Amino acid sequence: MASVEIRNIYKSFGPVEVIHGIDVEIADKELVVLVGPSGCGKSTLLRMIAGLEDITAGEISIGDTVVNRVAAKDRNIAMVFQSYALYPHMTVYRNMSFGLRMRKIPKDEQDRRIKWAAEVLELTDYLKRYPRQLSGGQRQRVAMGRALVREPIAFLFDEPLSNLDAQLRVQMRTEIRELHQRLQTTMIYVTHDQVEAMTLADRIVVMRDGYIEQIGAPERVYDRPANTFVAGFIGSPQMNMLPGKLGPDGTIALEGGVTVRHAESLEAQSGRSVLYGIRPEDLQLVGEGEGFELGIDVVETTGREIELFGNLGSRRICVLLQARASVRPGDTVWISPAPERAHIFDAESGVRFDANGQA
Amino acid sequence: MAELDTAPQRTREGPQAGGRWVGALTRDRRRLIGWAVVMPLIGGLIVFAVYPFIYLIFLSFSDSNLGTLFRGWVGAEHYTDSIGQAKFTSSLLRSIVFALMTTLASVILGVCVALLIDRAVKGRQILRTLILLPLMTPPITVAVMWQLLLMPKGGWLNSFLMDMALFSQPVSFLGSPTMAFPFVCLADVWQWTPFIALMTYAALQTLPEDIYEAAKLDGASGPAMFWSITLPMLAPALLAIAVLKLVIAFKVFDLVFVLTGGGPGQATTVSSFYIYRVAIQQFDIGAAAAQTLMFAVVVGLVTIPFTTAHDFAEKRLS
Repeated sequence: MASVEIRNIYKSFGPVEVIHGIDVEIADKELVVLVGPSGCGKSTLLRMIAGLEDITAGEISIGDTVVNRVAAKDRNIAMVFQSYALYPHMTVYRNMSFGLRMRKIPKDEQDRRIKWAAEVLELTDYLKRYPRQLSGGQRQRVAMGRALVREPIAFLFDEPLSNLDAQLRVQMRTEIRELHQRLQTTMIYVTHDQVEAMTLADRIVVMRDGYIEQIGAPERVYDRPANTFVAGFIGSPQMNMLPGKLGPDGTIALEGGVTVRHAESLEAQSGRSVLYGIRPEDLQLVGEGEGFELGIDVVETTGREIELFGNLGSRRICVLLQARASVRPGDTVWISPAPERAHIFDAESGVRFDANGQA
Repeated sequence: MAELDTAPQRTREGPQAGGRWVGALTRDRRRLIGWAVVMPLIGGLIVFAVYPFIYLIFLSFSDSNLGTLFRGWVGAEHYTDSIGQAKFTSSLLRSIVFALMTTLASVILGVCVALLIDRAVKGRQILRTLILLPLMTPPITVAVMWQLLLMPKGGWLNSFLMDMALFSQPVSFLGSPTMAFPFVCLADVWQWTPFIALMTYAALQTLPEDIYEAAKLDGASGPAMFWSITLPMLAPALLAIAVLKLVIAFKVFDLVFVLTGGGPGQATTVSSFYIYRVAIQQFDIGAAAAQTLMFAVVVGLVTIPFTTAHDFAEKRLS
């Protein structure tokens, strides 16, 4: 068990700098998810922690040891790859025992650990099979088992569920969460799927273009996104983002002649151009004449909820209804945002206004 | 709504009444085009493989010499005679030893060279070009070069060994019954190792990087990585390369012809060279044909374990 500290890390591939000075502290036993779009540097950062990529500048510590110059095999870290990276010529048992054999763990201890991991991951019946004889989900479990038996000080996951179908992904997500609760080991998990990030993480690190955009608990990142990027990236359907001007009395005049209220103390910023963010589920259907009018052109039903789409000025708006409603394309509805759920960002920098009214 | 719940009926025939007839015509045309495409290949195979093979079989049962072919039928006489000839059977054995030894040596060396090129950070391009030089050299030139190297008088190896005071007088390596065969093998290995190295290097590039990374994290490095990961994953490619090299080695002729002429005595007479002598120097085309067919069977028998192992290794990795 160990904490992981990443201090002012830079990474360049030739002349191209891909990570530009990142600081993250991961506490012992914490499950931290690195999330961001493709090319944001999350996998590179994970590979640097694993020792599979050199560190251009900065320091990574695992426990109390700076590991910049420690070889991957000596970091006692286990990693689960997106492609599983199972050894195709070895049975499940030998796949799991490989790391133990390399570390010269006694045979009976190897056997004990493998049988335990196989039981935890429901692989006992498959120990004599080869990877090619397993389904995607079973291969994923073997990859996890291979990591598990090593009893490493930290687990790294590089988009481990990307190759699974949607149903299996949800199931494996729960299993990983359960595994973390059971093992109480530090885990760093990389994904581009914000739902995976939200459901798994103790803390989320949102990355973009080699920078960290926000670090925080999932609820915090969801409820108070630090900027428009995080606001747009976390949450599905995306947060509605509408340009407007701050008024003097807790109002914002949006494009399209609509005025909405907010609950922030931004009187000093009156007249400033802002982006008004409101999540689709924070918009409610109200009676005619209340809130503002929205012409609906698309209605999407998932069974559990209904998504309504329409235009306000030049911007597209999505409304998420948890209850059944008989709205059809072409209808006009009246909607009202909850003022305390509004997110206000500086129009120029995209940064959220904090409690002191500073962007 | 009721009709919406019913899946539309699928029919094998198209909507038009004449669908089946049109389909049949298309199938015939497709078959015709298929034959037209493969005919040149089949024609080529008949002319260059099937016909010579059948011709060879007929020759092997005939009394034929260089001047007159098919002077009469002799049945299986050439076969029984050849099996009874110690010179022929020992040449077969020598061919097997030559093929197995040179294949083993070139594969081991080729893998080493391929791994070195793979590891080389700089100059990989130049290295690849350099190791191709022996392969690009015509076999006759290779043989002449080795002859010059091994000459008793003025040969580089003799000069070197005498300079180092290891030998007091020059040795005729290619004239010695015990050393001629290993030196012919050496020349062959020198010539073919680059080819094996290049093929192995290409195979190495296809191995998935993430498996190496997983093994690295599992604590593998150096020899353990090679024996546990690289070699088993390279095995199908290596076995296929080995089969290729075996067949090439069985066909060796030019090296023996220039370096030793099959001697001293029979020391370097491999089957291909022996059969050449029977056909061209003794003019016994019938016997040469029978020996060629028996030699082909031996080549097949020696390569079968390798192809079987290849299939097994490939299946294990699939």
